[in-house]
Amino acid sequence: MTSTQSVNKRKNPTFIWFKQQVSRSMVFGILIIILMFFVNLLQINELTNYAYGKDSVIDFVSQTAYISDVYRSIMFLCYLLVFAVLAKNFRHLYKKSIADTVYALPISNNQRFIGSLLASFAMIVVPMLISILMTIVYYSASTGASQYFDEMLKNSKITDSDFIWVFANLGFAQLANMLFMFGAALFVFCCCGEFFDSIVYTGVFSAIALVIYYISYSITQGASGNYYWSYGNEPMILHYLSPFSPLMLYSYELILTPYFYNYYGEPPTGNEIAKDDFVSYYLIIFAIALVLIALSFLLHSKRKSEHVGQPFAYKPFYYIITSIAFLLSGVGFFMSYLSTQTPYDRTYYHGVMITVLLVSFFAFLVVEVIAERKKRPTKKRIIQGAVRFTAVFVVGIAISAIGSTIGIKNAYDTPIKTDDVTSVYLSINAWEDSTEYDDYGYPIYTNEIMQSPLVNGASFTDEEAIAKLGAACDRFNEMIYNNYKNEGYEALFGDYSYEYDLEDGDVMIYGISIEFTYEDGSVESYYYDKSVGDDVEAWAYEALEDELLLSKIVDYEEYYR
Amino acid sequence: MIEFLDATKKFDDKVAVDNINLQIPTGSCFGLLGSNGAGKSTMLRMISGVYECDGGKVAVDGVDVYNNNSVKERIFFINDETIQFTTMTLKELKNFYKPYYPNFSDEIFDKLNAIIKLPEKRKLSTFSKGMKRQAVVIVGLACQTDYIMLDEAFDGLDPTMRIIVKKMIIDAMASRNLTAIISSHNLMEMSELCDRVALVHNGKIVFSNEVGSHDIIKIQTAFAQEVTTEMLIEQGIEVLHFDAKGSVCNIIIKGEIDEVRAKLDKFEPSFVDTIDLTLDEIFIYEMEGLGYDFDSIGE
Amino acid sequence: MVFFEIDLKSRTPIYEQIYKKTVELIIKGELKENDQMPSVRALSAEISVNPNTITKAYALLEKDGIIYSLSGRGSFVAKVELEKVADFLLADFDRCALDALESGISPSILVDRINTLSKKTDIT
Repeated sequence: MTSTQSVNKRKNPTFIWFKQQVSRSMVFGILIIILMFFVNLLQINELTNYAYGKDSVIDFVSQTAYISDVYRSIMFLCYLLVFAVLAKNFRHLYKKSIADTVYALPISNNQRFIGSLLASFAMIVVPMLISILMTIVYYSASTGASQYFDEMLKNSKITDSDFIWVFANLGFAQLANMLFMFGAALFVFCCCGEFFDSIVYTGVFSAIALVIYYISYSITQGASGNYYWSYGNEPMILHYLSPFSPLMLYSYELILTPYFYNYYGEPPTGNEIAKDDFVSYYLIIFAIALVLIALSFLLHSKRKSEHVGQPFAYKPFYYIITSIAFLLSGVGFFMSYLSTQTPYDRTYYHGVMITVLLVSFFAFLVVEVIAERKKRPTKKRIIQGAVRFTAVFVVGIAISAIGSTIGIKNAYDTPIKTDDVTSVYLSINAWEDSTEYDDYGYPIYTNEIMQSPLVNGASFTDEEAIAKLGAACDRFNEMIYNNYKNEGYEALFGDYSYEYDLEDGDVMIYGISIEFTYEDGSVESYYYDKSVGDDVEAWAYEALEDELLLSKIVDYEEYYR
Repeated sequence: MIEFLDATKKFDDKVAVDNINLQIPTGSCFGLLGSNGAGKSTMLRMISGVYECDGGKVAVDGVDVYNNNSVKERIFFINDETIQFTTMTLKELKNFYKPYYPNFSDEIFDKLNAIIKLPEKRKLSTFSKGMKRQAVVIVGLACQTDYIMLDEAFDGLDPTMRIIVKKMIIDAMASRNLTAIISSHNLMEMSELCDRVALVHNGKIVFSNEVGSHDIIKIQTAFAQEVTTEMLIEQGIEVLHFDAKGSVCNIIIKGEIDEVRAKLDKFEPSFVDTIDLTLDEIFIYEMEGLGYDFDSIGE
Repeated sequence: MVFFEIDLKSRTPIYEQIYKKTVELIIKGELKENDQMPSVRALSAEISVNPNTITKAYALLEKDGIIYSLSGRGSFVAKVELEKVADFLLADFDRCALDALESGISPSILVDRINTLSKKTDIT
């Protein structure tokens, strides 16, 4: 019947599948190249505009908040594209009509995974690298404005590395985060059998980072409150936990601010810093992404055609995700409770608490109903779910409370390690109710207190001065801690409304700011006001006359008049 | 040959295929009959390696199918759903399957499409349901696998398309000993095309036989005396249906014809004629014999 | 030229129809002794019937001695003795005759009818 037949040469099914998937997600890959290149160009142009005329990186960084927003929005779009590539290449995990057809093909689960994974890399990693390359080429080829950026970096003696290096770092940070997001989403996709569930639970899964972030924030920031603020000693683990981690959204500043930390000290050689901090950051993120992908491979190898159409392919994952959701509720509830402790409109925040409680129960219902929507609700299951919800909710509250307690202790019950302090900054917040204004609209201060360097902000590096200020802080912290033990969280929120009855020429001292900079570059900042105790004001007046302090000032902000 | 050996498939608590033992000989056209949810689609998917058996196994020429690429290369599964292909053109559909099946023949594909003349460059979403099915059928036949499964084979095909598809399958069976396994609601098609059928109900095989040979017989006879169903049953005759017009009786009996003739002789019939049953009638009587009302099974 | 017409709607299984048709053609003389039967493949393509069904029909024909097969060459019409197939062909006749007799039609009327028919079909 048939004369000549064209017989197919046997090709590896993985390769066949790979080619088919690449053509499916090709459009997204191209979009990524274009978007990333665009955002990088945008960055370069804006950076150089801002860099022009700036001698210091701090000036520069503070100006770039605007461009960061644009940059972040476009990055967010790119995240969506990554998600789209993943969704397209792994359709067989959630589309029922495709599942049976695909599982009947002579290709194994593992071959499918590798093929889809490589296709996704081809449409994510390769475009990212291409756009980074294109940017560097563009930068090298262009002359003029971009050189200002290099000069700025060099002039500020912050680093002798140039823009290409800084930018390559940024590019790889972007790539690391894309892969991280991809890995987390892939993991969730391999656990779920419906597209809707995959998306929602990727969000929930990522939100575990928010919980960890909040708890760590509590621990390092003294559980919120007005009196304590620290910078640079957040556990770096935060950056590794979520596709939406600070590293991604703030990679911009993070790449530049290590230089910022050391501004007060000796400028380090930029190449070492850049290498140390960022290579390790994104290597760790790459590693976590790889772990997630490896886990996904294992899960995927056990996937069956009949899993498609079920919200969860694996029961343990259902428990994990619902528990994370419930944990979030508990932590959220505690957060809202803390916010009721502020001095402002407490009834409003009590309302928030009740809302959070209601939302939490709703979350329980929704999660249980959504996650189990393919099965009939049974009394037994709902009761089990309610029990689990309550238990995890309480755990959420508990760990938040413990985190807060530890944070408060760290902030207010731990003596300042003055040995590790390199410099301290003091600012006595004073205010004169002036009635005269100059031509520019600024008030004219007459009281000499207003002209004291201590009022406008002075820095000290002298050991004795540091010790003195450290002792003052320890004393005030003890007062705060006692207040806290008596009154609870309320005591951590100072009252910003000050009654005053000043006569002309009188000055009111309403607060003291003391900021310690440590050897490792981290900063601890304290603020004390009248609600801490009357001693604060008394100490401030003493400090204004203190000879030691006045003599050891190394730098101060000019009284601008 | 395809064998189900104590094969079972469960979905959560529901048993879709319940400890089935079945043999599908090579070169046959095997029909799976049954109502919706009976288990026939599940069985086809077990053969195609889509589902793994929870108990027992499904073997193709002695080799377990599941996750075995070299066996799956010899099997082509045609899903009853076509929605997954709607964004593809016929050419893309062909190129989707072609690389996986080493025996794919472009010549055969072209030859088959010359008959139905489906446009190669238009998206399948513009095709009618019947055209979509035909498209997958010709791709499947062009893959030249040893086995082909058609789930709800003739669903959506108009009479002309049916004849064409039937002819294509028959040609392939004749020329290269294709084994076709078809599930369908359309009993007429099955009886025309298939040489063996199995009736599936609640995950079990109710009967499996060659078409045209079965142990249900329809007898037309006349007795001198009055004969009732009970009298026949007393003699050990399994009566499925008894209908009398005057002295001529039409009786549906389950059993061997010679045995039955011998038993009927006791009643001194003036004649005993066997009448062939259509597949529809076999279906109905088997199910009635199981105690089911035919209406409740319906499509 | 051999022409098989199969009635797909009939109660009679297809293999039986092929069997009967073959016998008919032989009796009519359109198939003569030692004529070659169409191959299973060819016949299956021509009348769109499952080749296994045709194989079954041929097997039965061979079993009843109506055809014989030579390996490698195909199947051929055997010498047919009419008496052997008479019962088979006349089964329908028996049924119809009984029906008629039951309905009260007398044997002599039936005989007349047969004679009338035979004059029409020109067969003796």
